[in-house]
Amino acid sequence: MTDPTAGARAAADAADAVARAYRDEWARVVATLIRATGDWDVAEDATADAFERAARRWATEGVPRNPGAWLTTVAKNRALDVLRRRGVETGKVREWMAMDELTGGGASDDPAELAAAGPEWDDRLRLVFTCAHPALPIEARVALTLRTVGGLDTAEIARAFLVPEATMAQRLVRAKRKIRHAAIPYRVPSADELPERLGGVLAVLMLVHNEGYLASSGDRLLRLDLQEEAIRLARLVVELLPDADEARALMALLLLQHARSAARVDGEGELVPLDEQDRSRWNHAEVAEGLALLANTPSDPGTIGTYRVQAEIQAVHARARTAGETDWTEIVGWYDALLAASPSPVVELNRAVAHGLAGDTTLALAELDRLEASGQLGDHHLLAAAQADLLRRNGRTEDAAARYRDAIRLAPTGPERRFLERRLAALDAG
Amino acid sequence: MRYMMFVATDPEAEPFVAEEDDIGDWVADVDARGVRVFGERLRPVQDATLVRVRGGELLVTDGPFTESKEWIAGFDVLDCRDLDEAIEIAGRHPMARFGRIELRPLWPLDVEEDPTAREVREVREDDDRGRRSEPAVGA
Repeated sequence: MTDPTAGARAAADAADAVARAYRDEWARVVATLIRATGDWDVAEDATADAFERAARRWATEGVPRNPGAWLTTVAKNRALDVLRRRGVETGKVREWMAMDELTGGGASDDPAELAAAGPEWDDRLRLVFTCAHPALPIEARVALTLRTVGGLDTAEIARAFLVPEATMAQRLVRAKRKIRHAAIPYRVPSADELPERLGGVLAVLMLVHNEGYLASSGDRLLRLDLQEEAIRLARLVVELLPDADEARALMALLLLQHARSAARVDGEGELVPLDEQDRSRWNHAEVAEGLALLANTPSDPGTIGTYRVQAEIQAVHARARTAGETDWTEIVGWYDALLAASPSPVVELNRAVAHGLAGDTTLALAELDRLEASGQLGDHHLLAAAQADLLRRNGRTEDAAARYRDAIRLAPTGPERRFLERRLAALDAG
Repeated sequence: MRYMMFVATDPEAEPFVAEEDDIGDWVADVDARGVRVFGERLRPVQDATLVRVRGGELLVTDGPFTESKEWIAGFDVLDCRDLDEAIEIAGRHPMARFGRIELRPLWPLDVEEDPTAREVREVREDDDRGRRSEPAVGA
């Protein structure tokens, strides 16, 4: 007797397995194919084709025991077909066959095994570094990382960055053309180049995160959570380079920020500031993971990186059970460290705010006045908002109202504007 | 991979310090490594001659039209493993500090095919790739 639901269940299992493989294996398969073919487009197309076949065949034939190996084999065969059909590139095919023979012909098609047996590095790490190569324009680095390492499709990336799909497609095409024409290498940088180039990779991930953060606080509704993508990519970099302290610190920073996503916006889509957030709505698994990453990373004060300092600031917030328990004096200390490492007027602004919350509103206002006089922040709404807040705390209601009105005029997004309007209204009511 | 390395002046670069000009060491190093195919300094723009043909008429004039602040002071043709090696070599040239350096990959002339036609074809092929549909799974 056949169970009529068995077929449907097998199809659902197969769909799950394909989705999981897509998330876990895309980067591995495409990275291996790029190394094998030296052609980014052939590699990407063959990998996409392998996943399409998996979607069809796993439903009827069952999910293979090792999906990654299955996908790599199918993608390799597909790439070989394409290269053979082109005819002109027989040299490349021959090279590839030679490589297969070098690995013993019957070598494993399991990319995980290949990586473990590989000379030095996982192919995915080559991919990460090449996508973030400084010779590519920064927007192309971000797009290429999301497309090739993250496996996101061009349309999704385009929507997330608010550009037409054709523009994003062109950006990716140009980047791949430059990799080919300028011979940007497909390799992990040498030990002496590594710290600087890793900084470039982390900067790309930070940009992905920031774009996601902006989107979630603006008037934009997105299907794609770029902050989650940034975490997924950071997790991969940490897995590949477990000794890179700044990569771990960045991952902690991203987790601690993302943990607050649900509490940052209320039911009406309005912005909820940190001190008013319902902390039970924070993602406590992400908080715990972020704090654990920091706890397990040595922090030599002499060489402490800027991502580490930023993560430590978020960790102080994460450890406070209520806003009132926040150790603002510790935060001031971290901002001092951040200013010493990389001076910026925005960091000075944040340090002044921290001084105010640590209790010294007079010092805070003096610092903000100095910052305003320096003109470094121009007409920044956050400067006006911070001054308004401190003036309110000092009981200078009229001055505070005037600065809130300036901040409202300067605020770039609807939710920020409405948040400041609520603060102004509360001031008038109080 | 071959690159043309243009060595140019740059008014925003660090000021030239004669004692720190280690061009001799640079040349000795790249020649020992066999990565420099050919290279020379160029006489200043005052010694340049401009040649054009307009309406079938040969026009010869003195130097460029305008006094540019950045001009090419020399060049080297590098033969490197890849761009990273070229960057490493360019970064140690003294004019990376006192001026700036531009690396341009050579675009070998394919005698079988007109280069303009090839670029048009490549752009079209690449555009087609960019437009192609994405995989159905994992979306």
